[in-house]
Amino acid sequence: MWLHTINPSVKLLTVLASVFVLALFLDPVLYLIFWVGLILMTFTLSQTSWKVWSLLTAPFVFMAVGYVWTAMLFPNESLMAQETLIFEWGWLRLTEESLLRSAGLGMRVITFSALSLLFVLTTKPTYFMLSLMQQLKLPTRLAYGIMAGYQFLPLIKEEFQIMQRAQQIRGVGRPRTIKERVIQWKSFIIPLLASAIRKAERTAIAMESKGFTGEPRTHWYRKISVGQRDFVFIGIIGALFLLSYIGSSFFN
Amino acid sequence: MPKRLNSPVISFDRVSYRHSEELDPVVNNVSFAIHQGDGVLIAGPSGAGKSTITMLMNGILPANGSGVMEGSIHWFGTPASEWTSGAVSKHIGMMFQDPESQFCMTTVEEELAFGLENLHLPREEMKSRIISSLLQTGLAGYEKRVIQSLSGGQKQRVALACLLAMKTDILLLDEPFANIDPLSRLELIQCLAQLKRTLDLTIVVIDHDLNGWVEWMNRAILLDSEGSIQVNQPLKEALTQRYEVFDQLTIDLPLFIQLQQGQAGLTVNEQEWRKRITEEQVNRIRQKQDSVKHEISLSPPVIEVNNLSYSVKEHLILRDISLTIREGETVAFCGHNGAGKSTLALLIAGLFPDYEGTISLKGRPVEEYANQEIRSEIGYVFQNPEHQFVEHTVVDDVGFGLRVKKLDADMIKQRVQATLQKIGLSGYEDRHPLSLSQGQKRRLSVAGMTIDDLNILLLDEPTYGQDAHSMKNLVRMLKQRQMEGKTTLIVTHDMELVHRLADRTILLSNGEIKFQGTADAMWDLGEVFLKQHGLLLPPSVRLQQWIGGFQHVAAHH
Repeated sequence: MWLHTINPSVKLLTVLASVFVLALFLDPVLYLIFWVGLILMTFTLSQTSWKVWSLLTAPFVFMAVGYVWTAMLFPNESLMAQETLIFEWGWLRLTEESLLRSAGLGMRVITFSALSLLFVLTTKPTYFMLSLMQQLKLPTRLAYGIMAGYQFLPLIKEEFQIMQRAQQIRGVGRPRTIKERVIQWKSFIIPLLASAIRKAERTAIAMESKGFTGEPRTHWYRKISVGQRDFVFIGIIGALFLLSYIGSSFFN
Repeated sequence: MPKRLNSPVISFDRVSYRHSEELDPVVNNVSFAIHQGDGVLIAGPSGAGKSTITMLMNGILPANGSGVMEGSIHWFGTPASEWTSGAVSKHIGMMFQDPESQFCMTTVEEELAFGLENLHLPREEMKSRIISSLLQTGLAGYEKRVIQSLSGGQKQRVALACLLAMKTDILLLDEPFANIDPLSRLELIQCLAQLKRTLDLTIVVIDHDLNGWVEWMNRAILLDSEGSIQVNQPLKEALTQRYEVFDQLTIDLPLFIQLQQGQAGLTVNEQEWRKRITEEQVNRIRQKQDSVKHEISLSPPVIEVNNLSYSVKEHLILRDISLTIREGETVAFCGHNGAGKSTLALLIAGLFPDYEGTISLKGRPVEEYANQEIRSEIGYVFQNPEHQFVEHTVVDDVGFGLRVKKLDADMIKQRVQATLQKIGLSGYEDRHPLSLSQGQKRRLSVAGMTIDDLNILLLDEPTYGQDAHSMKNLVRMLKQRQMEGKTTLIVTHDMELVHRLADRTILLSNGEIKFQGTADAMWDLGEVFLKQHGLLLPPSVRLQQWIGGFQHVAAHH
């Protein structure tokens, strides 16, 4: 659970910084080493479930494969002239450079997804907002507004389901084609919006009646602090980057 | 803070408020004063401006509205204009009608802390206040619970705990029990009564049902539908001298108060009233109470459910349910919040396909029916009428069911007109259903379902958000169905409604049937049994049972 205890703002900034630095390279080996390191971190330093992680990673892997594939099928002809050809089969030509380029792009997607999952799966939304307010001085008006909105999402989903049932009961048939479905959704928009606006208004009034004026807080009930372990976390990510950098230069 | 001693905590001087889009004011020339330690009941029919008055009382209006206010409001002797924005909320706490949308944080502890942080209290103080307010509301140990996973009654307790933690001088409660089961309502009222005694709180309550309040509140303010004050005097005095006003404004009074109508020495304490009652009065009550029950012969079954179980995501919601509903019966499904009543009703209406066991409608399994077919047998009225409007005008919405059946256009027009006339909505043909008032929406939603003469009608919490007047309409309509020999299923925790209407009740608790039989047989099981399942005896039955006991004792002597 160690990753859960890292300060969310520090975690966010570290992840963003890593994304920024990694984007300067296009080296599949560097990405691969970094990625393996991230996986090791995710599963040794937190109790993330393999199932959830793989499910969330799957679409990114799919995207990455797509990258490699399109890069192979539609190469940049002007670049290919001086490149080393690996094989040619009909109009399909693959050069070493274009393979590396596309593998780099693919690995980049996968690495970035692992980085974001490392953040998302180990950060409680409430703590994240609290930390944004306490460390990064996000205005309370905005942060508590976002948190209140976050409580709404399940309510709106529930309401949507109820409305689907209600319409079915009134004899509006189940939508079969995509067109019918779009028409149904359109008919839900006004009542859903009306009730969402009313709910939002009520919540706003409730917040205000609890003395919320949007002014900055003087004391926090839950203090989100920055401590040694946060620097250790930055250190680990930094070391991982160095390791990947050195590893990749050996390979090249 | 500009607080002056010995002046009223809230005072209104000739206050009127008009919403910008309307011509008539919702609150009309209202003057009253509330003092430290008062317990004030504000009641009136829907549309009387009760909610507007509460929002004026804690300063949310006119600051956050687009309306116009006239007159003046003072808090603690200081005019409203001298208070900085938001400052008064720290003295006047408010509890709202809808338990869903008054929280902005995830867990109980965070929600309580939110209010305390707004007061800029040091952390240690917050901690101790959170612990003590949770104790006071019977929520000790709930700190880390997710609010959305709690029941309606528990959510309202959390809301109350928030106010207590903030130590506001005044509690404003705006119909806080609109949709929670009767036992939770009673427990919360008792909790409030005790807190008022121990903490000397000032409490202002808006409710149209005065059961549970009259014993310990000391003043009544009654508003009429024009938003003017009709009665503003000590509660006991008001009940003795102005009883007819309570009646005119369709305010629900406890039965023992109703029975004392016109008596000089009226008491607001039920126990005391029972001690004082005479033999002759008892006999009078007996005569009054004799209810005429709808006789039902053994008609053929229309709905048969056998060994039905239903679960969502491996969480069992209904377990081994078997029941038979016969033609022409009015059956009530009752039970605590979350007992599975609504799910059972939805299953019977053929809305959830994946269940175990069998559900048959007129001898045929429900899943064999085509969607259209089943709709021409069963109608379903949802708890919140807004969910089931499908068209953009009242006239189209009522006629929807008939158009689906592809009836002749002239015929549809005729029937729609007749129906609108009957439910008092002629003249509203072109309005959007969502723009109607609560009572009108309910009537429209029921009309939309009953216009094509369905044999079976299911109603989910039909009394939710309704005032006494629209309740009466609803009961009349349901009685009419009963006489026509139509089948009605009602999901409700309004025990008085069950008593008045149901031929039979089915009591559900945690997804299992705990009782099936006539309502009278269920009342005979006693209050202790009902309380285990979140219910209470309807007041009239409790009185009847007590009189039964009284007669029994009298016979002995």
